[in-house]
Amino acid sequence: MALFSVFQTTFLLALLSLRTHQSEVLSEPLPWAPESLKVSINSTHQCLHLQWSVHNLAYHQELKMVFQIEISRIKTSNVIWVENYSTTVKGNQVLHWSWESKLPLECAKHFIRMRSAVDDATTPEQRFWSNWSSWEEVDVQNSLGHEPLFVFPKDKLVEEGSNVTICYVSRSQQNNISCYLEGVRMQGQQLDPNVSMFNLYDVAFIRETGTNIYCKVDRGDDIKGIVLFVSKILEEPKDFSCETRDFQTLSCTWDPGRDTGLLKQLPQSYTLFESFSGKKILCKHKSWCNWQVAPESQEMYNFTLTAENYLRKRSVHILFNLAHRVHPMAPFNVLFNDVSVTNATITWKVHSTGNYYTLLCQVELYGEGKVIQKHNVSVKVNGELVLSGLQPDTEYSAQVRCANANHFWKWSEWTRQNFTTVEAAPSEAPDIWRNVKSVQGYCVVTLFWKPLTRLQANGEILFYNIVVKDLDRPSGLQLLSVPAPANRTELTLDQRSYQIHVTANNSVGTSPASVLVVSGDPGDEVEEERVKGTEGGFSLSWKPQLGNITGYVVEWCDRPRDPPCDLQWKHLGPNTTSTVISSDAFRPGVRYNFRIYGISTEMVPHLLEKKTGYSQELAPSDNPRVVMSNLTSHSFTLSWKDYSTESQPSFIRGYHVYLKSKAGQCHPGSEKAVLSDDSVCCKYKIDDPKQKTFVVGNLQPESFYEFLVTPYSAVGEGPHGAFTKVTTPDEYSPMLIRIILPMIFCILLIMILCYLKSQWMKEKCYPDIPDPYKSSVLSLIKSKENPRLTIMNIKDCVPDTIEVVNKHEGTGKSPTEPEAAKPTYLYLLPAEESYSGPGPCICFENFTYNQAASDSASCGHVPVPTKAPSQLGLLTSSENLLTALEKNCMNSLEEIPAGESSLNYVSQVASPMSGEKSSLPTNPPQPELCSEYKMQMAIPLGLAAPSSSGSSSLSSITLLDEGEHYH
Amino acid sequence: MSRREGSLEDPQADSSISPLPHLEAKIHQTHSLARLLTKYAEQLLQEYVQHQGDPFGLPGFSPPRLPVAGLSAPAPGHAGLPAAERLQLDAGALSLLPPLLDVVRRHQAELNPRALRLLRRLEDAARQARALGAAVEAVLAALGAETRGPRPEPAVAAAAAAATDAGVFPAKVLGLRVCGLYREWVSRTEGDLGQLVPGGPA
Repeated sequence: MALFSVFQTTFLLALLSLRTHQSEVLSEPLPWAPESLKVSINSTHQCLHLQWSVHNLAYHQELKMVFQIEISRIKTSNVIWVENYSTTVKGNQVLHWSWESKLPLECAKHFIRMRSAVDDATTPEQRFWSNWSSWEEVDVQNSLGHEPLFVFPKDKLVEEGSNVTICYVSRSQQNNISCYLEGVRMQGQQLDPNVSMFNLYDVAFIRETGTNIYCKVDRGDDIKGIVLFVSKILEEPKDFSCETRDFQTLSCTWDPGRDTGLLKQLPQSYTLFESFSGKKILCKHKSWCNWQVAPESQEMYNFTLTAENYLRKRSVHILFNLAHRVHPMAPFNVLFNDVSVTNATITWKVHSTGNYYTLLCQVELYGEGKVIQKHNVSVKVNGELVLSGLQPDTEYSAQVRCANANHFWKWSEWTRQNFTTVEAAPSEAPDIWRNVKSVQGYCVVTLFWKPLTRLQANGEILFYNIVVKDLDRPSGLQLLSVPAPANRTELTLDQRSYQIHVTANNSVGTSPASVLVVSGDPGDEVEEERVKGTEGGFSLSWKPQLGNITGYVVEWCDRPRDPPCDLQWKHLGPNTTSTVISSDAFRPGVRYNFRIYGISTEMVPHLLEKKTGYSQELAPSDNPRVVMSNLTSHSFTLSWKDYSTESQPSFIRGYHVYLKSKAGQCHPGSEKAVLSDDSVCCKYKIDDPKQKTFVVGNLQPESFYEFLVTPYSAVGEGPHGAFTKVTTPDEYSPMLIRIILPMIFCILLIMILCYLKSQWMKEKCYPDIPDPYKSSVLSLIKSKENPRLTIMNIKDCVPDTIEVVNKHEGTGKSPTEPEAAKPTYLYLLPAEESYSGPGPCICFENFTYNQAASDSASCGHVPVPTKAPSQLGLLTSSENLLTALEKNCMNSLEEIPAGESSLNYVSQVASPMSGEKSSLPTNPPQPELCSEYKMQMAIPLGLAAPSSSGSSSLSSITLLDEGEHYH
Repeated sequence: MSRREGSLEDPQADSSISPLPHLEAKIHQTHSLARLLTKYAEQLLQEYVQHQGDPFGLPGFSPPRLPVAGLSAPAPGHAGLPAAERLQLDAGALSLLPPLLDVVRRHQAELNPRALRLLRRLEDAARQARALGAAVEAVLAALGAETRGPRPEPAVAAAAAAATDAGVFPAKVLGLRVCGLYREWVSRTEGDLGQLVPGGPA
């Protein structure tokens, strides 16, 4: 047991001795341990910079070593970073190492230590770590100052997507501090009572002026903040290339990509480095740079373009042979020589690129805006090319560009020039046609021609020559020149046949002639056929003609409704028997008429067929104007004679007659129809478009009807417009009219006959003024042959008194005039000498012979024997009478018809009226002769009428012999 | 020739009549200028805030209203001071503002070179503040009041530039403060001149 104890004690002592030796060895600094470790900080970059040297390293000695560096935060035991830094160390060398902290250095204390080991093959025995250096403490907070609040890092610059840690340092633990990112409060992590940190992940670009972060004391107005500048990531330059145009300068271009967003805070630079020459230039522009080509004829170039800013560097490389990057300049002096009708020579020059290079030049010829020719030409200095196959009088454009023929890189820019070829005579005859009308025995020929196309005209057409040759009289020629751009002319010819030649002329020459024969013979009329058109046009076909036919012509009008119908025609070959006529002018609902002519070898057109049709039929747009007639109680007749079916928008197939009635019953021949307004009526169908009358029968008397006539075609019927109203008469009215009218006529005829008969009877039997000479009594007397009985002649009477009766009209009386007319007696003294009548006289007293003829302004006269003029002369002694005579007696006795005389016959023996006796003269003349009779005489009422100026109603006039005067 | 008709006489020869209309016109003119610049100052402040981003545009953001290079906002008792003294304070503040505005413009040109309208407004504001200050000085001179000599601009600018060196965020706050001071002093000047305008508030 004791032996065991001794052995154990000895072992422990030996072990202790070994441990002691070992500790002594370790405590000794190794020959190459780090020493003089110094730590400095860079707050802006949040970096710790370490510098140290290696102990006992000889001046000339080089040793590959590894340095292990430990960094702790807040306390030494909190190691946050361990890194082995390997380097080759020379004698007395001061070594450096930097470390960037994620957390701002101001936010926490940092501790750094390191140890070293030799990592060199020459000294394998030293391959173990040295002792750790002592901890170096870095505490920036002590140097911050005395402000109550700090925020770190200051104005940091980061790229988009980075993670950033910020912190605040407060001097007072009692302060409650809040921090905000762009006004939004952040949640932080407290590092120690005075320090909190905030982690921002994947930061984004917000604006050029940065992202605002600030902290503030809740109970105070102190605010501290920083601005975090977030940059967009610098992109690698794209499309980097270099080329030369003159072998003196290389122009390098690239696309810099998107902007980083921070122009001032994060400027970026572009540098161009050429590795063969070792030259480097800083580019002034962000997308291009010029490099001077080395005069020593450097062929190969290896460029490195580097884009760089504070945060990132990007590079691209290109390697090329200068001869392969030639971009020639645009050709110049492009000219056209020897321009003819169909050819032209183009010449150009290129900029010199040295005599060692051949250029490939491309020539493009444009006509009417399209490339019509393309040529490639090899060129050293001057280029030349003949352009052929051109059209006369045509403007062309040619352009030239060139490129390196051996190593194509880029085409130069185009150089363009225009030219126009020379004119030539028209190559084609004009396409002609005619329209013939017969007017008063003459043929009026309208000659049409189509303008030549540009390719046919070969220049500007100046005029058209027309030669009209009389085929019956070969010597009869008519020449006509029509200036362009006319496309028609009118000729008046007689009924003979004429051959017409038309040529087009430009400044160079004349076209071939078009020939057509016009004949006065209108030819046979052919029947018109209907043809169905489509949107694509009218498909026409005709029977082939036997015999000598040189071709066909289809003729139509584009605007058949307009007076100049725009005649169109189409020439077709002799073997063609169908064609499609299409035109942009064709409109739906318009009827087009086509005439197909065959052209004989003598160029005489013969009408073969006529077609008519619509490109699209439309429903009739209007209804006929209907005239109603023969209205009876059971029927009426409708007619629409003036309705033209030719001018309708479709082929009229017939008519529908709609009849509305209250009864609503439809008779045989009609059918019920429901109109668009849901009204029911009867519909009569007329299938013949030429039938334009219709009798509506089976009507009820005294009934109200409405009717409408509308056409229909294959596509529909006309509009259902306003109905015409009609009411049938009653059944008996016509019969009554047929009976009553003749009866009335007969009665009237009888009445007239009776009247005429009564007049005749009156005239014969009891006239108002009996005429003794005309009296039938006279014939009776004569028949009894009693010669003693005769009719008294007025000449046999000797007048003694004239009674002048003043008759006053009821109206126009003067108030001073007496109420009643009073006769005035003119006592005529008998004069033996002047009395020439027979001795005895028979006087008739006829009281009816006092006509009121004075109503009329007729004139009377006094029928006195032979001396009447002298007696009138007596009368004229009275002024009143004279005036009356002058006014009234304008006619002589012979001039006054017997019926117009107004005479008062007064019986010579009649006693005056009782009322007038006192007014009579006291000594009235006593008649000596014919005392038993009273002489009748007539006196014009004009003479008896009182003077308008006279106031006396009673006067006495005595007719005296000559020489005696009126008293 | 009567005095009324006389146009050849020196209008200042008779001090009992001529200066009064002249002074009124000058006050009126200066007041109109101040009123116009008040509107411009408001526009400048809005434009400035818009370009700095949040929280500068947020209503709850209120950095401390500390003096800038010795220039404070008008004191609450400013209105109670005599007119001449008020105008002297106005003129003094207006003379300090142009270098401060220039500092802000230079900083914004660095920070925000594409905000051309803001830069132009800042440049105009500095010029207009000088013009208004000179006009107020002229009114003071016309009133017979003593005018203070302007502070040397370089000193003010250096003081303000030092503030911007503290960082971008403090520089933004400084610009906000300067623009706010400019608006307040121009508005204050308008109010002070308005009291001198005939018919204006007493």
